[in-house]
Amino acid sequence: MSAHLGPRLSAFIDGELSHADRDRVLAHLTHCAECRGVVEAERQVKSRLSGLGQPEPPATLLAKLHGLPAPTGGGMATRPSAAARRPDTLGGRRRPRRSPRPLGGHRLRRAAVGASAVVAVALSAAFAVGGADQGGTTVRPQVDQFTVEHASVSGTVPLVDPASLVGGSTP
Amino acid sequence: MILAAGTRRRAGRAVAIVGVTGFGGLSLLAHPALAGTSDPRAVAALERAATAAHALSYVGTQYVSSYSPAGSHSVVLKVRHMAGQGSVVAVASSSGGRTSVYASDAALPGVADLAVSGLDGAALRLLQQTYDLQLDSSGAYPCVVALRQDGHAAARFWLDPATWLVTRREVYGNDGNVVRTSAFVDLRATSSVQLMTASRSLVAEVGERRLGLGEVAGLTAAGWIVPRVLPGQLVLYDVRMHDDGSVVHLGYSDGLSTVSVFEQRGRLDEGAVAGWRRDTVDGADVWWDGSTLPARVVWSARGRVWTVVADASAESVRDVVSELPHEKAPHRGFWARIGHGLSRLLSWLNPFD
Repeated sequence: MSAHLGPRLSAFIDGELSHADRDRVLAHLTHCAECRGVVEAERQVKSRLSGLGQPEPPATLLAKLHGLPAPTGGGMATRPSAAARRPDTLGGRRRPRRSPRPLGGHRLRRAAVGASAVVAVALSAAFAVGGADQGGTTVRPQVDQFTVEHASVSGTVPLVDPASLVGGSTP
Repeated sequence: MILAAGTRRRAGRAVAIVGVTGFGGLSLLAHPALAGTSDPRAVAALERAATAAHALSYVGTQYVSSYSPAGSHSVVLKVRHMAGQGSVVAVASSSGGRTSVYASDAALPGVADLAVSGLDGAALRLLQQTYDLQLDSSGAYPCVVALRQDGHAAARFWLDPATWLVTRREVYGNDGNVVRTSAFVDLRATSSVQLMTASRSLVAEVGERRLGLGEVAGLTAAGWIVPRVLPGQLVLYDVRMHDDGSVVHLGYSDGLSTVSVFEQRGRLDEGAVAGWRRDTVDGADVWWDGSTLPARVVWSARGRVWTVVADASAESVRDVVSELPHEKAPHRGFWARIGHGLSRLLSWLNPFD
């Protein structure tokens, strides 16, 4: 009876063994219940971790990234370099933090256009509703009718001009 | 030119009737300093003239002119009056069109009732109490002069000694200039007049009911603004309301000029006054229609639309308009309107507002 496989089981689970080594591991697992238990446990853990999906970056982080200033050189590349993609730590020693890279000019222009559109829409809406509500129902006074009614009243006053009766309304 | 059947029936005793007519509050509102100072002969002459205008049948051509710093306006009228029936007054417009209006002495809404209560007599008394009436018999025609308290003439009436009809009438402004004049260029009294067909009937068009002056307090309590007196000693003498209750019609007069104030709730749709002249009174916009002899002014204030129709001088009309409520148009200007609009939008978004 051979000894337990130990770390080789992890390589087996990760599919990193050669065909010959994998056959030998499988032969061992057929009679070693302890090693089968280890393999079974590690496969379950791996399965659960893969089911969690890709973690999303926080929204505040994205907003901060979008808010970075444009490069002074007016360059066009915005993808971070390979060095920038490396993790902050290297060999247990903390890498010095790089200064933030500014965004490109076209993105800034796009943002400016978008902001202008939002402001224009807001101002248009404000202008539209700003003059609409002055209280009360809109009224179109029937001035010609009023003129006739005035004539009927003024006609009750003696010695007024007959023009008062006519009401001055001519077609 | 129109008045009631009641007046006709009492043509021969008009003087006696005038003395007993009641018109609540007028005596309190008229100018106290001039009450009782008029020449009784002048008062009697005007009473006869007012009666004759309805008791006689006549045909005539009359011109009417009004003058103001902005210019003058004149119309020529064909007047036909049949005693016991009514009047047809036709006016030729400058565009060549002609409008004629028929008014019945007997059927004009409210007039018959007013005649029974003696409105015309009361209005004459208003003229007498507002002005000092004096008779000038030095000319070929007797002339009644209405004098203001300062002794200046406010109006003159020339009477036809045969018919007692007013053949010429002049109204003067505070500066003494003529602001309105009318005169018959021909006038013929006759026993019978064939009334021509009118293009418009004043009787059919009026949809108002008359309220008594005693109902003014109720109107005020209901939120209507009802001044008792307007500048120029124009006294409230008639109150009416549209049948649907949407409009209150206030009639003012000093016996010479008549002013109607129409009040209705709402805000002016400025499209209704397109083409009118915009003016400013106390910083607020008003719109004038200067194309007609009765001056017409419209504006919005205090949640109401005000319409003034006036047979008065431009100066008097402006004084009247200034006396009534005004308010500056809200949110005038671009940025003020933007600010108001943003405020409204935010209020819509605010769930706690």
